[in-house]
Amino acid sequence: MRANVRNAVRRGLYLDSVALMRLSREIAALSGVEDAALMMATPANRAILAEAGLLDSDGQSAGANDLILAVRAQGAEAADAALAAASLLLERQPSTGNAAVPHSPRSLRSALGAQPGANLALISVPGDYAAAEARKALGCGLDVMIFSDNVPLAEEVALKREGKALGRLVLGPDCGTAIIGGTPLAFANRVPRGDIGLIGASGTGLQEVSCLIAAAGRGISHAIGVGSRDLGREVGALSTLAAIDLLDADPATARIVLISKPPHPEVVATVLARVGQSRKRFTMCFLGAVAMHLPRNASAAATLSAAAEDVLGAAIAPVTSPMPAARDGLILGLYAGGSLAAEAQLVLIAAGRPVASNAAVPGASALEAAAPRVDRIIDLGADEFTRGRPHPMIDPAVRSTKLRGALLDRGVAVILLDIVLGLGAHPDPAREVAAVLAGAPPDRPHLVASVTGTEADPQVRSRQIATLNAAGVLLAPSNARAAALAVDLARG
Amino acid sequence: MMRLPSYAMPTPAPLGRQAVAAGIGPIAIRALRPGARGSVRAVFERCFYVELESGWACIGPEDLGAGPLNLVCARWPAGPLRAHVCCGEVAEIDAGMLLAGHLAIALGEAAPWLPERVGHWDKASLGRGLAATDVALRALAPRDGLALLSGEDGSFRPALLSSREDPLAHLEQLLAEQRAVEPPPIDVARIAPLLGLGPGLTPSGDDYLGGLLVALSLVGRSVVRDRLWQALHPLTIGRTTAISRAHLAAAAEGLGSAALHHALGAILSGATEKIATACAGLAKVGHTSGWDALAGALSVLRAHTCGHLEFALLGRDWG
Repeated sequence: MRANVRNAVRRGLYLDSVALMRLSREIAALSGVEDAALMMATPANRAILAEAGLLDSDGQSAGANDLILAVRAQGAEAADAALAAASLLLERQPSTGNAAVPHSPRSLRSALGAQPGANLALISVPGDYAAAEARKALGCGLDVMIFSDNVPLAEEVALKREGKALGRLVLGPDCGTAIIGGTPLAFANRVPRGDIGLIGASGTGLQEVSCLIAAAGRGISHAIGVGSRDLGREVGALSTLAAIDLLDADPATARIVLISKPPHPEVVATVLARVGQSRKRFTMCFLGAVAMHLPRNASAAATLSAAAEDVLGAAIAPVTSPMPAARDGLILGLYAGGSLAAEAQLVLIAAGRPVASNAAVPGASALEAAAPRVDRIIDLGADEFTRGRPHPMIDPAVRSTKLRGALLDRGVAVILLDIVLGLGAHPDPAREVAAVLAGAPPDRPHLVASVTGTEADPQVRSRQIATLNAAGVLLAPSNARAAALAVDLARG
Repeated sequence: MMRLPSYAMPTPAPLGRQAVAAGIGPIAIRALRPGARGSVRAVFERCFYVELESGWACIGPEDLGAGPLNLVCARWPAGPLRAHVCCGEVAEIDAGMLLAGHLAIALGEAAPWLPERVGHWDKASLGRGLAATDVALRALAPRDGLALLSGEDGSFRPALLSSREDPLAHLEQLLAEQRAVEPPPIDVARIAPLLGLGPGLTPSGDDYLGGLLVALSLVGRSVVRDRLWQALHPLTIGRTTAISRAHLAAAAEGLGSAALHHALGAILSGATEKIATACAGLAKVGHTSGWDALAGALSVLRAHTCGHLEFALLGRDWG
């Protein structure tokens, strides 16, 4: 019977020498195994494996930081069985879990073949490739939502011009949230259908306003994300203007809310001119913008919460639960949502508190240049925290780590958090926070949070609130209210 | 529709019992600078490695022993380390603490570690030290790895090197001829097969080269060390593991484990009564890593006793 060699490669897995030798011995002792080895796949070690007749093509292609599991057995069946058994032994080691990936189309054309009625493509590939994929989608007659960031600005401008020429909508790049015709896309919440249309250059801004609308018993027609750079000078609001056209013409939309960081002054003029042509009422929420001369059919809102109140025509309920005593110290905001972090800064600045942030709004100072005794609002979704790792809305690890440190910081009076629910978000973010708090000292800072989400979301808003309540977190009905509550609870 | 990943939620360590850093090596000091961020790259039974944007560090309890990459801690958490920290988790330095997974390690009290200074030594003391080392090696060194390469008669050839003796021959030649007016060129292609050679986290071949670089520093041959490292460094990418590369880079600065420096100090100064104990201390550095590094270092020291490195003493850095 001919000897057969099988290799399995574990990418980026380190085991120490003792574990490698122990496993090698256990694998070599498996039934039918002639020889076995477990080695880091450096070229030198691959050469050793090749000389020992233990290397196959899989192992040959492994890199220096990968682990090769190699077995040689009499006959193909024995080799396969030995490799399977050896893999099981290896799986008992940490960091080897790999979830099975279900079948999914590998190209736009195969996706369209499987779903010929599709009318929108959601592009989520590395930024360098997103424009090419978006062009393919536009060429297939689809509207496009580009979730990817790091798309070159020139490509964004070109794509949006191409979309305009083709009569197609280009959402993004860097568009994290949209709800089109009731269908949530990417990070979005399950909100009821209604007559309020939203346009947003910010993902969590759209989420917060749509959820506040849902909490008030109203609903939205569409929520159109346009991407973080759309209202900049270079792009010139190409997608925002297209979205206004769409919602203005949509009979199901009665009122429109526009949410963004402050646009470029030239772009503001263009957008407001278009708003003024509409017969519908607009709420303009440009977070951190100075006063603008608005057309008669538009009103300004300084915060996301104020935008929701304006469009609802009713105030969001204040915090009514009993409040603990205020503490000496600073406010530290650990935010997953960029727009929510911006809104919190605006609330603190309005309260007269000096604020620093890694994503500073006008009036706040940059974190690295800030004095030591100022409130800090950290946007953990910013590039410096998400490069090479999931966004904190998906994986709260980066925030949990910071939260553990903050709980031990005697200079912090209040820790301010956003809990963002919805499709794509972490399945139980409140539990993550509660798990960290379980190990906190009794004299920890106050924890204040708001939950951006709905009862229909996979995480169920009321369950998240119950978990946070049980963990001793003080909850506010909106992010702006949470920031205001933090101001009340922090002396200093 | 996006798929939601699943998440494990281990029970956190009580924050009131966070570890406290007791000692820190020079490379770890650079890596664990305020504000540095990265991730946990490997978790073992008693230590874990983080790769931050500023470099690598190895974190463990005090009995891990001091080393250039090591941050050793008091109040180390009980139970399996993997209950506290997992591969891929965020690691960062914030407010004077290393935060990694569920571990919070206060850094403020960490005492900087530097290799112990070698006392007076000369050719006679080194000869005594090497003789005592041979005895210790015969009694203590494992047959795995490269330790017994450094035996007195040189007759033992480890299986790992069965067909790879050329790199060692070339290294011996380099060490022998460095006193020439025009040192011979380094044929790095002949040394390269040692890189990444061996099964472990820091392969035996790398440990051997690391020990050699450390010993070249100790005997004042930093010029030779630097020539060798400049030749080897580009090859380390792709030929060995990232963690081993970090250890090799430390060795190129003359920094090895505390156990290796202790043993080499005893050998150089001929403190024969200390050598067996010092060599035994190498057993605590990985499975064979400490021994492999000693083998590389001994190749330099033996070259000196043969007179090959006498020239070096003229420009020796006694610090």
